[in-house]
Amino acid sequence: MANLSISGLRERIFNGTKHEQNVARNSNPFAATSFKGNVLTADVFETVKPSIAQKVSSKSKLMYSALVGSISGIGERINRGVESVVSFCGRMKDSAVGFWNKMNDIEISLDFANAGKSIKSRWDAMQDEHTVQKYLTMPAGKTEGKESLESMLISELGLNVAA
Amino acid sequence: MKDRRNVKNIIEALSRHQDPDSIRVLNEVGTNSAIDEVREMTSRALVKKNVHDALEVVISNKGKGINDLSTLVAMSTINELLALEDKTEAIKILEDTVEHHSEEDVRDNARSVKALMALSC
Repeated sequence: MANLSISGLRERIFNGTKHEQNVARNSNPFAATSFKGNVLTADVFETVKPSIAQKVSSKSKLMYSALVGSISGIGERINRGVESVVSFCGRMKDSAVGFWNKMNDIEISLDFANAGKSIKSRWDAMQDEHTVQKYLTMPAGKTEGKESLESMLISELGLNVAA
Repeated sequence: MKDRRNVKNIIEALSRHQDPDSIRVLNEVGTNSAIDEVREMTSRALVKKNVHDALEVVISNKGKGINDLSTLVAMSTINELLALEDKTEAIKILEDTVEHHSEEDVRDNARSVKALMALSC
């Protein structure tokens, strides 16, 4: 039906070779050589079968719609991402503000004076215990040639007690 | 006020000392001191020993331990007696003092402390 075109009739009339059909269907006269013997089988009179065209078209439409959809989806995702970033930043801001408010509510006082006294008293207690442990190795009463706790106590109290 | 940190350490060492002579040192030197603080530390050290000879010094001697003229020394000694985990020996000496001591003041003090000890048990 489509073979009624002028070019198609001319080819049919003047080309009587056995490859008529193949050559006639090729719109390129050098196709036999240019494609190294591989003849294209596309029908020049029937450019594209409607069904295929429809399929391609519908496929393309689907593809394009999918592409567009995906692009728009990407946009939405980007939008969502941006929104999530914004909300994240908002939450961070709220958290920071909340933290700051809490910090303002909490009264922190560092009593360095009492801390210093406490440390000193603990240090003194530790030193005293060390001293007592050392004294425990000494004799309690007066002993010849040795320092005793008795003589030390008398000396500390400033007593004039004859040995 | 003079820092008696070393005196305190010596008395503390005497209170922990295993040598019985430490009781004599505390009795002769510590309880005869003119300084209330030293007598107080000495009396408490003797109570901490929780042995007969040491407790006898602060319970049955006039002018020492619970019978000291200083309220601070007497009250500190009583507090230390009340804080003892094992009060058996202290109560025994208190009873002996109440019954046999020649001085009435000492007997009265011992009786009062004995009553407190009974309440705290």
